Amino acid sequence: MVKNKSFLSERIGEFVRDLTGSGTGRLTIVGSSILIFFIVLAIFAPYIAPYDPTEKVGLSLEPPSRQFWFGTDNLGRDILSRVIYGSRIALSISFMGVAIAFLIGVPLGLFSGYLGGWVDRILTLIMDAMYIFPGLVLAIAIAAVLGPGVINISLSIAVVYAPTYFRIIRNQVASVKSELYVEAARALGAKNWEILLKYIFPNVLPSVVVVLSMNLADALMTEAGLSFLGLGIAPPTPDWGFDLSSGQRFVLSRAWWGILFPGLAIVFAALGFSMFSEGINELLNPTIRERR
Amino acid sequence: MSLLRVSKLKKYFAVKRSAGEILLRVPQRYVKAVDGISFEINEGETFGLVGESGSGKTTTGRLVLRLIEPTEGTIEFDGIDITRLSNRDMRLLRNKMQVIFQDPMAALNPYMKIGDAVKHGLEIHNIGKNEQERKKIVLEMLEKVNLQPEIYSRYPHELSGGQRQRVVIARALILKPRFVVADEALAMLDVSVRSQLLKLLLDLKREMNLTFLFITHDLATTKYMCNRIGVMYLGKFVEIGTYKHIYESPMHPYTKALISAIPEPDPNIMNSKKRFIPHGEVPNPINPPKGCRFHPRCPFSMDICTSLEPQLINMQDGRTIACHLYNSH
Amino acid sequence: MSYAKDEIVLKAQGLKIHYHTQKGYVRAVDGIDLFVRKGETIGVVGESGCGKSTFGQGILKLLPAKTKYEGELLVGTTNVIPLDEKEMKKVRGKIVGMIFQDPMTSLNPIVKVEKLFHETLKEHEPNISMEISRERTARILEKVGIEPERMREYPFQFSGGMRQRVMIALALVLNPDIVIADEPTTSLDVIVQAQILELLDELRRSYNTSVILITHDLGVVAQMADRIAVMYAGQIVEQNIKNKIYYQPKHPYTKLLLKSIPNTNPKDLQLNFIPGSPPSLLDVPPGCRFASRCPFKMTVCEKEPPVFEIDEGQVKC
Repeated sequence: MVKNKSFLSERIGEFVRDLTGSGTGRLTIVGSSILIFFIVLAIFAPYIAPYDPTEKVGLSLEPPSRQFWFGTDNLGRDILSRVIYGSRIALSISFMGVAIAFLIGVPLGLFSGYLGGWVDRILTLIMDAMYIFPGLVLAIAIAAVLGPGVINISLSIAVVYAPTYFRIIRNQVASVKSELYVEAARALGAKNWEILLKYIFPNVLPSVVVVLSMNLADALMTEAGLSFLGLGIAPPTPDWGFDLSSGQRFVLSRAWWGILFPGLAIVFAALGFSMFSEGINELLNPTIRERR
Repeated sequence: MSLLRVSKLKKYFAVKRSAGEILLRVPQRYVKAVDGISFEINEGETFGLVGESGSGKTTTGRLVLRLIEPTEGTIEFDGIDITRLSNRDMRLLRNKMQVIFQDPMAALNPYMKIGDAVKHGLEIHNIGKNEQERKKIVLEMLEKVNLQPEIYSRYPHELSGGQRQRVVIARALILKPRFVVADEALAMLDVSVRSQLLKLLLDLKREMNLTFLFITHDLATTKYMCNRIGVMYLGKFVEIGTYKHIYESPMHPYTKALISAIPEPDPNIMNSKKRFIPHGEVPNPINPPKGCRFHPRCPFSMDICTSLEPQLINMQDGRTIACHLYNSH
Repeated sequence: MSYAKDEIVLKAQGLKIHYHTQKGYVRAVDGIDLFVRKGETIGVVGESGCGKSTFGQGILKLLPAKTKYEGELLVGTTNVIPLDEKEMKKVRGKIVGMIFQDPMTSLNPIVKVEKLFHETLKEHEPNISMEISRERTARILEKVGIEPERMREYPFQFSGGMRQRVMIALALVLNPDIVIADEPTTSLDVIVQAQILELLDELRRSYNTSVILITHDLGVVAQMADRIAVMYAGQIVEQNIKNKIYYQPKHPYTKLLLKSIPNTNPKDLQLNFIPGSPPSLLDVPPGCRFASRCPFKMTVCEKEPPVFEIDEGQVKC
């Protein structure tokens, strides 16, 4: 039998059928609708949000009303507008964090796996040490050193996830490099970097695409966690995690809306990411998928 | 004039020891895949290597291309000892020596279009002035191996097994090599396709004046391709001769066994054939038998066979053979 | 055709097996008539993708769910087509044994050999004790040339040839009427192949088992088979006793196939081949399936070719 590699181009038709036909397909659709909803919020925030999220527009701690759908916070700012603007920070940091992690982990994994030997052993040791360290704790430590700011937070998230990419890529490369087509490329006289780029990289890339989408949900939670602890973005920039932490001080004064809405936003965005990635994973990975 | 001269070539693969074995100082063991072989291939000649799995024939093929480093011995290609070349010099020489593998699906990058795969060799060795010229050369080569130009932008999984092997042949021959290693190049194909490709190889060989090292387990195909055939057993040659020597009058007991085991597509031959099937299987090449490596399975085994390793000697009819049975005079 | 006193152990009539893929149904077996007599070896030959392996697995209904079976397939006297999984289990092993091409993948490498046999025996004799099954395992292993003590080892500790012997023993332990051997020696070296084929033939004779030998190698069937069925694109194009197939082939495909095999005769340097390639079984052309490659093509070949009975066999042309 011919080994059938999964090619996106020829699978699209089947993919669409799976999307609409199966349970996992529906999962993906729900997940991606949530994602698209948040992305639209983030991009068009200035047009959607009724108020400026950093200005005092009402009284302090007003409950939800016609005027302020989600109520106002202790500084009299509109929570709805803050939640809408908050999606900008949440999404951009999680995307950036994962992207940086990808850019660090993948090339290192490629080198490590291809070169082998002591380079590989040292890199693997470092990455494994980082990998077993609890993610949030590591992010906190790095964020504390780097200080607040979008780039810095993204970086501290990236450090947490880079080892994941490194490990996957490294192990894949180590097995792909003994494939016959790699030997064939060497027999042609190809240089090492050509072999790595043209023959190995395309064959290991699909395995990280799935992890990429899964990590987005984690990164979003980590970002919220960091800013909840005050290590995130400097106020008054709207941020779900920060709003959650400032809102919780007033729960005792029965201002439940201060934490409910930012909290819901975090939950839904994370849910959207993970449903999406779960679905994508099963659709792309024929070993999980049951043969029908 | 000999294009390839291999002498006393050895390749020992280290057997991985477990941590416990290293601690207990269990000595490092080696798989003696190729254990001291010498042969020459003249320009334009095809030398066949036959033997069962574990005989070291595939390792020999990879060694002469220096895809793996030899443990000992020299490989002279066109007068240059390639075992001493730097990696860079070796890379530059690779357009002169090419390889056709057994499994064309595995030998092609699944994410690389056929055209790009065939073209890559040209890019590496700076053949052709520009992209267009290279594409032209590739299309010409595809035509030479009887492939349609549409294939240029296809992926390997879209082709049939025979087409894929044609692509692999095109990729190897587009560099105009002088020497080609064909490692079981036809083994995975169906009979009707196999003959087609055998014919193609023969035509290309004549046209391009190629020198082949033809590795196979299928003796019938060596008849068409090979000037001389070397029979390997456990990393060594037991007999080297022409197809007539090997097939019509095999002398070494192992060669005899090999020949008698071939299933012929002819019931009458199969009924009349004297079968000579030795017991057991090829022993472990970590610990090959002492003396003659075939002696535990050989029905003609003598005392001397258990202790003294027979050397290759030249016979009057032109073949060489390593067996004590023919060593008495 | 007269079946006379010969006992027919397997008979396929109009058998169709279409299996499901993502691209649609593959008509791998598309109308096969074939019978097997007690104690004979029938060779089913053809190139890859001709449906010969599907036929072999289809007899035991080992193909994935969603496979469509049609026609009649008598094993002994029961038609197995309507049988469900549970009833098929009684047929598998007991009445029809199976030998696969690659013993490495078809024997669970981490289950001891004795346990493999015990499990197989237990399928059909639920109360069998380990002692009795060990005894029977020892007996059959000895028959296939393996020291009985080795039953305590794992399949991965055996060499390729030895593993295939285990496989044969496993197929024969329940003393089935029919053994299907699907490319039993393709992954083996010639000398080991010769050993295994000899063993298989010897066992067939001593157990009086029928063997369905599925292979692409016309040399193997020349040695082993009594009768041969040549398959092309899901159909049997010709079947006959061995010598008729080799020396008086009727169907153009058989003729060309035989010619295209590189022989070992040093004087014959002619190379023949069949141009083109077989049709896709996803979308089979009407009429004769070999027509597009046939040098004797006529206009009538656009219609479904009739089956002619010729002395001992049939040809569809």
